[in-house]
Amino acid sequence: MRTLKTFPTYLLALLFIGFAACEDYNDHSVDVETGSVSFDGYYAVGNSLTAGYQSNALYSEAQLYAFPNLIANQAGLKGEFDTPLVTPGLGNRIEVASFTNNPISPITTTTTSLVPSGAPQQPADGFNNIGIPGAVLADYLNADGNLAARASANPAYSFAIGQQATNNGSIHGYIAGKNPTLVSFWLGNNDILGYATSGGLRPFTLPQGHPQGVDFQTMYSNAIGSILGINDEVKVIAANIPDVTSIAFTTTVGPGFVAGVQASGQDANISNVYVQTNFYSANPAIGASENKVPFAAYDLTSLTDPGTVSILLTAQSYMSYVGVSANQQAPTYNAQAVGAIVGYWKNFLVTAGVITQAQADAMNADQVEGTIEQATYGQYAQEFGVTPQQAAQELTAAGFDIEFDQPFALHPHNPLPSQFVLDSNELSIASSIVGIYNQIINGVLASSDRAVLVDVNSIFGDITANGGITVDGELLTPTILSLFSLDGVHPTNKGHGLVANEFIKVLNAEFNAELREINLESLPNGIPLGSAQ
Amino acid sequence: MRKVLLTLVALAISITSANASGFALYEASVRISGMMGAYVANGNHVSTIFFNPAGLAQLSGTHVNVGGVMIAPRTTFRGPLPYTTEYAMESQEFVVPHIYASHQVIEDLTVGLGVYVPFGLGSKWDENWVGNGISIETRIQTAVVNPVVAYKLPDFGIGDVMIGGGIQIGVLGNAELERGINDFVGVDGTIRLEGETNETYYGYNFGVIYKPVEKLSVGFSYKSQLELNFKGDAEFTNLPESAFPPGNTGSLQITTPASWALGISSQPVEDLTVNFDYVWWGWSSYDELAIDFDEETAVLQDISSPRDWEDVFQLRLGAEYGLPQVDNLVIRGGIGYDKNPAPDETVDATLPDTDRLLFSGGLTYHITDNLAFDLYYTFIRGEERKVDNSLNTLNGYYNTRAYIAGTALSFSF
Repeated sequence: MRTLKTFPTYLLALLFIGFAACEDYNDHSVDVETGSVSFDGYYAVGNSLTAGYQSNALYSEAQLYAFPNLIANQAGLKGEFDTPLVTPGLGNRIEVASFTNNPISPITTTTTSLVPSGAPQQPADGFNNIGIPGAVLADYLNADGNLAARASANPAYSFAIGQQATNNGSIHGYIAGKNPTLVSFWLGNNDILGYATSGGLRPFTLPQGHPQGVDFQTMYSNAIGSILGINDEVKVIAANIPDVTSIAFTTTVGPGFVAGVQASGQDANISNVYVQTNFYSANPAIGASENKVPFAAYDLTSLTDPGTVSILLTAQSYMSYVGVSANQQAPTYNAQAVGAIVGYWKNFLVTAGVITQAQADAMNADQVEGTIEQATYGQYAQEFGVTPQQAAQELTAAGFDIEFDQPFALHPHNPLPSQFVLDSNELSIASSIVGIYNQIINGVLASSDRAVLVDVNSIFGDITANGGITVDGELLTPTILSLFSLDGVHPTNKGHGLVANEFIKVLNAEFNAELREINLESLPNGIPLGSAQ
Repeated sequence: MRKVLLTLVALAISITSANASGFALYEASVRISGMMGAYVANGNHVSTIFFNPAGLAQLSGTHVNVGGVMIAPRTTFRGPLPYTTEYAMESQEFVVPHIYASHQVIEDLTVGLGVYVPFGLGSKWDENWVGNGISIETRIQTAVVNPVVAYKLPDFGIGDVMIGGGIQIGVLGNAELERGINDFVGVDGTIRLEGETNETYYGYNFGVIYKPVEKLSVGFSYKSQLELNFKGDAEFTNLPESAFPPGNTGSLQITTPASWALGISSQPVEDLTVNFDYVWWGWSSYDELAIDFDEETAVLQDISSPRDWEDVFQLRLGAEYGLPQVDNLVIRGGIGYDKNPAPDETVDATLPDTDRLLFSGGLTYHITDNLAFDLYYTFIRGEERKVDNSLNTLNGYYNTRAYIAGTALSFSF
């Protein structure tokens, strides 16, 4: 009981009322110096990184902490920087199911399918943050004419740019109709990320020389040129592309697997892990060496170095099947594991168009083995210009076979699928391509003093090389739950804060602005929790 | 008797900082607070037990003083920078009672007993305000039973010298801390700690008054540190059990500062007493807020927030005037200046301290020769405080003011 309701108390309370009006304090206004750049027309162009996509989904709680929103906040624009907020979300969000106290695998995860309750309402003068998860460089000017097709499969396009998405317009079509004073531009990541996250199975955008101009050089140059051509005042701040080995998606599973087998003492039994590799003809321009062997061996030391070989985050659940044999008499037989492995291959063959779903459903494990072998002969034949029969001969001579009875990932005849791995060739290619993209970006931005660069590649690279960075008294590491969200690709709120501060440093240096950097400790961790807690 | 004492003491609910530096309470006597608590050299009311126990030596007979003080602090926060959205601390009023008694055993020797609240704190913010991860609610309550003895030295021809001292017996100590945990998407998690001092804690106090001539005296008094060891429950709401184990317990230790006061009292004209005190607080004892959880997880770790408070002073100037025209009425007034101990980097919404100006006024009406009624009022104006480099990242403007009033009855036998 806090107040004694007796007579003297009421008397005293009366005394307070008289003085309650004594409230003078100084007025303070919000005044941020922005130098020679104006934030009145600040628009953010980009992909999922710009949109604030996290943990495999687009949802409002994360969108509010996207780096353009953080920059706008520091520029005094809170409440005026419109974002197409999606609730409860779009995508299969990865969430924490529980916290273990095991430092090697600190959480278990689950996924929740999020479906938007409706399309975000476009304000009268449109959204300011038009980052679109999945957008590629071609989308800026619709260079390949396929924007509408991509948009029909991905509602995030129309959420952000409305009719430009449905009418086969372009992102530029949206921007040109506003009065931009500043555009932040971060496209190009997906042009290499599709290749990297699929373990080298999906194509990357050609760096130069596409006959219809659908190459990075042409598209990037035209994009930046178009923005700068809208008016004489608009400034562009663009970020370059980080290396694929500086995201948690490529750096988590390999070292985690090795730590796990060392902790359980199993490392004595493992000399090499075998992965399926893709065929390549030599192509020094993109860092590709000739590869005619469909598998490669990596020892445990190599697995701890994502620069040598990278096991992708998509492989995580399969790593517990390492060593399993499909032979029911073998001590390492495990029905569930075998089912998962064979099921993976069936799914892969169907997606690749080699067989139909009905055919896959009817196959037994032996038939799957045979189908994989045939498909492999076909890929070899295509890459090296020989007949499938010749391919079969050469590959068999090289020791190629598929046998699920062999221990999974520990024998060349039952390798970790290529989709889950970036082997040395693929890492070399990814690194070369990113290098070429970034050279192009440098060149294009250097051609105008209204265009400035944020060297995210160096920043992320340094953090990876040093194992982390201490900011505002906290050690942030390039790992999931620290700088990266649960999908291993997209930064957490604090990761976005770090990126925003790098943009702010450049804005302050190049345009004499005086934006305050964000104290990363003020940003909430934003960890998604699975509903059954 | 002890049970009665404890019941009264349990009413000693926490108060905010707004009346003294840090979370120290100086509003320990209605009569003395009317003159801004400037009393260390004066000491001739039973409530001097708090200000300078030596003063009891000049009281003959038996005296009892019972009083209560109500404190109404008001604080706003405007931020976070560069924005100036206003958030107001929830308006709360706190009632703090005190009791003093003294008895002259033989000539020149008096014993006394005081029950008062030396330290306390209470702040409450809306559970969804921008700083809820720093503080939603904080309360600290203490109560001390202070038996003292005072003695007037024999006359050596230099004037009166009085000494006194006693033990502070800490019979009550509660701490509550509630804050939000904002680490999880779409989840309003909170953590609430409730602890108490399970064992009695002890300190001491002593003082001396020297009166070279009739109308002038100087005094010095000292209070020791108190070690508060709070232990209790940590309750988690809306948080995953795998990271925040239910039924967890924890502990928190705070060492309150030592303090001393040096003052002078004079009677420049008849019926007018003017006192000036300099009070020092050793708040550098509070360097860290450390909370230990008995069960830690990878997510829930012991908390260690730097505080790095500084030693500070207070200036107190007070006067008391027995109105010649009106029988039995004495009026008082005073002004004070308190420096706050918290540096910019660590001051926060649990206790938004600032430098303060204090203005007081009070009166005593002698109803009979043996019974008097005391009344006082204080207005506190805190200096606007801009925090730009807070370690907890919440930067903005704090504005604080407070209103305090109290009544008491004094009995003499």
